[in-house]
Amino acid sequence: MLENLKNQSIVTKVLYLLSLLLFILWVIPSMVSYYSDMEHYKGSQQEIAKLSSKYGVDGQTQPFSKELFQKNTEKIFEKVIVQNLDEKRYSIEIEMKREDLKNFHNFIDTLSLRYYVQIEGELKFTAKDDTVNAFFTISKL
Amino acid sequence: MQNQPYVTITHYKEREFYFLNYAIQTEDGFIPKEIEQFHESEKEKFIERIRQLQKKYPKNQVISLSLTFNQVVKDKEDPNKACAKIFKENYVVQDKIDIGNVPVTLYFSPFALIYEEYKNKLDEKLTLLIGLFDRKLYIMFATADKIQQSWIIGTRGLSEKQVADRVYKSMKAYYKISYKFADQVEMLVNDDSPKLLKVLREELSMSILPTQKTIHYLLHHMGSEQSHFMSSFIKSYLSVTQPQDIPSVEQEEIPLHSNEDIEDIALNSLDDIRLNNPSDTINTTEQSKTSFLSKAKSTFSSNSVRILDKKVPVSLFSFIPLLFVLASGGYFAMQNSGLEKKINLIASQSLAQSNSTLFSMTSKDVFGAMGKNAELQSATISTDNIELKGVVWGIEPLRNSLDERFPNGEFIIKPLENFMTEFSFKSKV
Repeated sequence: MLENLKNQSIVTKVLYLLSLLLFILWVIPSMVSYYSDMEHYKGSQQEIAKLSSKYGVDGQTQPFSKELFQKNTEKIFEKVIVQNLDEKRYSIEIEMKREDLKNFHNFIDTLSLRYYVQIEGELKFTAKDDTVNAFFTISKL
Repeated sequence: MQNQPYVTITHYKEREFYFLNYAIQTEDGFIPKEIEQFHESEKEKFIERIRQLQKKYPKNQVISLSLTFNQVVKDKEDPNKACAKIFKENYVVQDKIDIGNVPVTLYFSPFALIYEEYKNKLDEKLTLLIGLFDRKLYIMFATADKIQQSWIIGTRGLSEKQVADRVYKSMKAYYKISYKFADQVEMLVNDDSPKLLKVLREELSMSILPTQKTIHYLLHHMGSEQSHFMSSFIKSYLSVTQPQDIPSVEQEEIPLHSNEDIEDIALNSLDDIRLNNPSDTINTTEQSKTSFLSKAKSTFSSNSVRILDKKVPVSLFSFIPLLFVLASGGYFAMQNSGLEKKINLIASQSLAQSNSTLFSMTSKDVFGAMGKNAELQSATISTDNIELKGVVWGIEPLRNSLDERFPNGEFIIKPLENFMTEFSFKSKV
């Protein structure tokens, strides 16, 4: 094989050398990085799956959609208002009975497991008589 | 015209000098004249001198010697290369004839000269024939019926001991293939090399009877008979009786050859043995020690003697490793990029989930602290602090309850006009 290589043209030898260098300096590190990252990703996925299981969330996390969010949330609370602040941010107002606060806390607990969103800034409450209103802002991940 | 003498003009180049000679061929042998020497810077003068001799002696042959490394004895003729039949079923083959613009009508291989010198001595015993020309050893294993193997060893820069060692190792390499060792050794030298002979005798443990003849002498001999002409790389079918019609070969080009041809040459020599045993190296370069670095250097060097004077075409197959590397590298780079986005997303999700849990826990604590002692009117909860406001009925129980959950908070009460009491509470989370 070495003898064959010796008989190749200089261009062929340069191509082979270049291939070898690229393989060592680029392909192998990329492969190592890929398999290492894959392990890390699988580990994180398992942690999220454990949390979802703990809170009883079925199915995969979904990308946020205003309509879907409103539709699903209205099944839990009396009134839900979702407004666009910009492309990625939405203000949310939820009106509920005092006795539904437990549901609300559970809803907040599982929000980021159901949708790729995070709560931004503050969670505000106003209460009057038996009704509680919650205000917060979410942004897409 | 019939009375004009037949003259053989011989020349060869050794190092930076051209050596020129001519001899009058007679029925009783040839009569050589004085050897002329030209420096390579006087090439034009040298060529002019040959032209003069050709003009002076119209019945002539201009004879030279191929001293390249790229020649080997094979069993078959190769139509794509320069071939010369030297021995029944043996042909000496070299890639191309490269003689510049120097006139040549007959062009012999050292192997042909060696064979011519010893053909009558060959029998069924294996004979090692060695010719020393231009600091190269042209070596053949021959029997009466054929040449078994041939190879070339460079001696440039090597001591006599190193040369003898290489001859011995190459013989050993041949022995490994054929289980035959030479029964006798014949050596043809054009220079007096008593020291080399001495160490060769010691190394091979055999008696060697050297024959010392000059290259000019050997070439004049080759040109003396028509029967020798078949051993020439240049096919001269013309009779010496019509020398004026003999064309000079000037810069003759033979078609380029494939890699397979080159590989074939390599396999036909014993050089492949050195891959199995580096210590048995039959080196074609000047280096005496073959380190890894020098091997790599020679592998990637375009000046390798083996491929000297060749233009090996770049095959499309040469790009396959590079394409494979680019494809696999590209694939993993794309996969990495996609995976990186997924990892970032899942990391953000984990962080968002932690924040949500913190909001939820704080909110539970806030509403839990109120109990039946107060009614919350407004609350602002962040991951850092809380601010609460409401109406309180049991001040101390509420203070204690809030202190328990949010220590060191600022609890303020304010009496209202309707006999009720308002509270506000600020604390870090």
